[in-house]
Amino acid sequence: MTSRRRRSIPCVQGREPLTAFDRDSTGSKALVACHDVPSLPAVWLQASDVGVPLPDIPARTNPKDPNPQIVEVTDPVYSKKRPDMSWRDHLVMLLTSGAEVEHALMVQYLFAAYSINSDQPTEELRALVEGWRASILSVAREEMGHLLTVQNVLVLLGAPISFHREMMPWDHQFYPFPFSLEPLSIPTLQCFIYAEMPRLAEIEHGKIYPETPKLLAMAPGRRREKAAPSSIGPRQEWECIQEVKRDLAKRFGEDNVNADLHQVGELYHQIIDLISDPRRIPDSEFNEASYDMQADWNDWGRGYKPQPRELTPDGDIDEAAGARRLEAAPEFPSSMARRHAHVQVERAATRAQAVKALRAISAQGEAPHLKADDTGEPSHFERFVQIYEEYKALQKNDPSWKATYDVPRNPTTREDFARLNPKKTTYIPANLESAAAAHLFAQLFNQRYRLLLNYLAHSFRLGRSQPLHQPGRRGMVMHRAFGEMYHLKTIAGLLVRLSLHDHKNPKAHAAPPFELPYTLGLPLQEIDIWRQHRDLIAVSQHTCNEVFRLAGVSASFKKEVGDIGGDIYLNTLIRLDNEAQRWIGAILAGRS
Amino acid sequence: MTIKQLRILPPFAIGRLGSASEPMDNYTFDLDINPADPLGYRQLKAQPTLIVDENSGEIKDEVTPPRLEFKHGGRIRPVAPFLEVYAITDTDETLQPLTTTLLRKHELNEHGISWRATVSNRKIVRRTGNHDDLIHAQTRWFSDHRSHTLAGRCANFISPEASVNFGTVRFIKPNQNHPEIRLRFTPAQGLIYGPDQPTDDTQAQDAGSDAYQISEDRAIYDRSKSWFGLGSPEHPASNQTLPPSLFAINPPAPSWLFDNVAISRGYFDDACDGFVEVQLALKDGGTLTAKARICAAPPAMAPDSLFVRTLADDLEQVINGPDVAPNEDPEVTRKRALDIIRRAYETVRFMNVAVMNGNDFKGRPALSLDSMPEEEAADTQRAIRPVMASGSVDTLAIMTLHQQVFAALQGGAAPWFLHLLRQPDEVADFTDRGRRKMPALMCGADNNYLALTWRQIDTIRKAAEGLPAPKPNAAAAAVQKGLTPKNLSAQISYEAKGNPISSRPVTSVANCCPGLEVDFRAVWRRLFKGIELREYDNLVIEVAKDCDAIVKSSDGGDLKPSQLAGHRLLRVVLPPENGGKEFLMMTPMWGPSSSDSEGKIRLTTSSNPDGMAAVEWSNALARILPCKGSMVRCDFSAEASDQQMALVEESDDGPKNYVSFLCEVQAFFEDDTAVISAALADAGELTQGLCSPWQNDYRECSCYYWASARPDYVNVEFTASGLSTGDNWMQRERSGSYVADDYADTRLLMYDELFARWEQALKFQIGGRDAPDETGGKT
Repeated sequence: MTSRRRRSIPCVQGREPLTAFDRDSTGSKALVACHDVPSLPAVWLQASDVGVPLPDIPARTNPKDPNPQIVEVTDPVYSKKRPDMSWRDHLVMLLTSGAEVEHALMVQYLFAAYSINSDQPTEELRALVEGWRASILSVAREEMGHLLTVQNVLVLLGAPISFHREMMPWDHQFYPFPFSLEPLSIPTLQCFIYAEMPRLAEIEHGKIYPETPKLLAMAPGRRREKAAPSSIGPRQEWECIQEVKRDLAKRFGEDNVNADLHQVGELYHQIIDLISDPRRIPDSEFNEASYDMQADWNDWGRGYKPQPRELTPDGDIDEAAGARRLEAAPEFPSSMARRHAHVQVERAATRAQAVKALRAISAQGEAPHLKADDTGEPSHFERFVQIYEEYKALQKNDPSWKATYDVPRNPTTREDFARLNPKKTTYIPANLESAAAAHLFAQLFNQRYRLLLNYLAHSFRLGRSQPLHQPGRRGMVMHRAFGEMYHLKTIAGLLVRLSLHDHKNPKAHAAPPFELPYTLGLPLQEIDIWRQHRDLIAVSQHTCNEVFRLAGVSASFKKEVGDIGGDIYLNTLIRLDNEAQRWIGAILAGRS
Repeated sequence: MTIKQLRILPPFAIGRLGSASEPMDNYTFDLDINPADPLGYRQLKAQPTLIVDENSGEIKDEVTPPRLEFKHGGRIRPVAPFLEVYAITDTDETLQPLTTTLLRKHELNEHGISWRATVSNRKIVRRTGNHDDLIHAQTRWFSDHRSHTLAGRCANFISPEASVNFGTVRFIKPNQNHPEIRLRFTPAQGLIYGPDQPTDDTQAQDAGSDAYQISEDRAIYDRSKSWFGLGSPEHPASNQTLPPSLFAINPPAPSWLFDNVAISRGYFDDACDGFVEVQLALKDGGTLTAKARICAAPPAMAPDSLFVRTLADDLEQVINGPDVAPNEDPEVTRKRALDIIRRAYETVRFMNVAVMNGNDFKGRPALSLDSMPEEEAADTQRAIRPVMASGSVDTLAIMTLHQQVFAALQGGAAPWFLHLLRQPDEVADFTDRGRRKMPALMCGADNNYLALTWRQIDTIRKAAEGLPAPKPNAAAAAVQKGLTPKNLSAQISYEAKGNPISSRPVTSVANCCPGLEVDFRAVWRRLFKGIELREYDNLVIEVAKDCDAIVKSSDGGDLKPSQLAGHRLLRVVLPPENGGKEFLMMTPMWGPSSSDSEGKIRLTTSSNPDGMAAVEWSNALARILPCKGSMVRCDFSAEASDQQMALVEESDDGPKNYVSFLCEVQAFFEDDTAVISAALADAGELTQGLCSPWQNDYRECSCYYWASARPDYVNVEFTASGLSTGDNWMQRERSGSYVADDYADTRLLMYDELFARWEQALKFQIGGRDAPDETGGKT
């Protein structure tokens, strides 16, 4: 994966801006088109700057300091609002970008996790990489919580929700790195660390961390112990940051890396600053009545949160109580992997609640690493650093060792798209003599991904008409969304065990493509949304049946699918879908 | 070749009550997943049924019926299990069927075989504490092939001749086609017995004019004795079961709708449990003996579904321990994990999840309806609140979610939900977090939220750590090493010829509060030699006469073992050579803080100032069983206490509150067998805590105890609203509109109706729907 800083480039009238990167890893200045970039109308190109770079903040670090402190920079920084947009609109754009970045990160993390090969030479290695997978999946789950929280804030503002992934060119300045599905590796981990690490500008020697940093408005007295302390100490983390910076700088240019443009936390910082300002976002912009339309942790959290803390009968924190009990966890050797996800899905009825919600999710992964134990859990940054250090140690011992299946970057089921981007994408062939099994499963993956996104959007749509606290279609659609998540996990696991039948690389395996459909829009009428669900399920069933048809035609195909247990799974999936069709049929028939 | 020992298999056989003259045909279903219908109900398959000639006692025919019929003429067909004799010889590692051929090889024959059966119904004794209330039946040793009636007699019956018919046992005559040595136990008809007729009219009004009337031939209990009227001010009930008052009462039931007044009508039933024994006379004058346990239980009303935690799971934990072996074949682990999830959705689909969740129902407050949240509110004196988010609960949706999890695991995904499984010491966590853990909405043996066995949880843990990719085309490694003396699992799950699967522990519920087939809590009471604990908590209720000789003081205190009655067992500490771990017998009760959504507080009341709850024995003692024969340290409360209490160590604030003794751990099974030790439970003790009559339980206990054994939600369909609709299993008219159970709604079956006509009123469920009375599954 490349990690390139996208600088904002001033538009020149009549000419397309350099929308991508000013330098690639070879050091040459080249126009590199990002995929999915739409062509821009000339009128738009005459607009003023899309945004301005953040000022470089000189590092005040003493590199020889043996005990560096990583602290947060609290100066507000604004990206410039376009004159043809209102502040509210700008805020919605930022939030939408935030949602899309969260979505993109989540999918990339999932891909990396799914690429892990637990078929390792020793039990210890197997347990270790399974721990990594668990840790990354925890991060992905938490990103899902962030995504839903951002949707809730959009609902609060009366803005459209968004489950898209890329909104070029509006969001490019906020992407830590261009979207790319890459197997887990040292370079991949470096990009993940980079995306989540604290702002680089301020690494002070000897400075005591402030107790109430601006980005973390914790209520007084709410201090928690870390559930699973990091085995990586502050010095090692600091050295890791330096190493990541150095390596990424070699690849993508030092200037790109040193600027703080693309920390995800920076985006949240801008959002929080803007939404906190009643002059630019008046109270009238917040729709309190939307509260019940928003996603609730009780529905979406699935138990992923820390244990309650013990209180005295008077309601005070019981200081005499011991450390909070850890939930049962698989016995992974990595301490972070034992730590369950803390999915935060926050609702907001007011400005203050929106600010609090955004601060909470920002603190979880994207805000500065906290040494004062206020979060009570390891950040995404810490988790990635731990995996990174463990990975490096293993590779040092055995440079040939691999944690993953040999999966390609950006797999696609679209041959035409692969031809457009041959260096960035890998086509999964559909012909029976090649990777037909992988192609069909990849297709199935895309279909279920689309169903998931549809159900997510539909659950928010139903929020307008269905009360939160009564059983109804809203809750049922929410359950369907979770069912699709389980299917994606399963199909991904099957895909990475299917060969690409690449004669140049016999070990090449397939991987989940996470391809977006042409639209995520829902029909206007409720009945048509159900018809769309029915249609998508039907086409998924067709794909499953196609697998069985080909299994009947080709013995090798049949064996390939049977060896991974794909037939057993598809058999069950078809039956689940049959029941789903009955369910939708009852709704469409208006049966009561 | 020499026959060295005998065994009877299965070591635990369940008979099922019913009054039809012809026993139920043999049937089974695959415990494995049906590839053709992986999510469907288990397909019942008729199996070869042994037809016994009534006159000769021989097996005259072996027939596989074309279809299964659970009822004949409106009467339920009883399940009458066979018990086979096996021999251990000096030339073969595996158990060999004892046949006439094998006997002749030893110059013996079937005339040297004799049998005896001993069964009891201790339900009355358990409540009255009066040994004269024991109903006991024992045959003499017999070698003939007639049916021998198990006539249960009781000192408090109206006459020495009066008896309860507990069913029959019969030594099946071996013949050429069926040379095996076997016994058949035919349970009783499921009749209700009661007190003799009143001598004046005032007594006749006791139960009300609509009360079920005991027929004269079964009105055999002397109403002047302790059982009739127990619970009245004149005869208060003490040493109650949990739940209390599990018997037919006056005024109309249930007691909690009538000021908690529960006065026994004096009813009892013909259920029982006990032993069958076989004896083989040897040429040298010696004998070889073996025994097995039997019990008579209500029918398996949903025969194609299994409960999420069964007696087989508990026994599996006893045999193999709470931890999965690190080197267990991954395919075995995966299969077991899949089975747990499968049984989870089999259970859920019979629950009206929205009602069981504690939602208001059609505007009616949840507090008026029967559910675990309602029980919890009553027990903890906290306001009722739904367990899950009330908008997200619907039976078919939750069932589908479970099925999707199942599909994911089938596809090789590692379980990701270990943290959502309730640990056995979290059963009294009534925070939202605690209540939402799995299994949800159901009651465990300790009357708190249900937990799986440690072993089931550990199976999920091992699978969650990642198993090698499934190899579906590779045969799983053999789990069973065959029927050997040491393979207790194989013996427990043994399928005797002719026995329906409903005679096996896999179809018996384990979260006994009190249970349906047996009250498995009773088996743990005497695990520590010389001490008897209450079946549902850690109170010492009795000590053996020689307790002072058996139990040793560990800390040199003044309290003698013989003085321990009334004290509480707080902790057990293993000896250093067994790891030295400590196990508390209680767990804190937690509830949500009313002012802090992220906080929890200890739930205390004046009768429970420490806010502690007992944990059910099966899990609490699981890690102590391997110490059988050894002494373990038992910490008892220093003072007698009728209240639950926390253990307090010595500190600056005060002395410790416990005294320590060394107690010997008894063996769970009889030596080298899979028979639950008689030292742990005598005849009648495994069923003594069950309802009296058992029909009371079907009315009293809702499906949040055993959803797939005592269904709640049947004939379930999708509706246009996206939600499900169906019937309450107990509602008389199948309208498709669920009737919520408030114990007063006359649209539901009531107690006396069940007493009078339970066989007609209760409908078998096949495929989640009412089975037609005369048909069941097909071959």
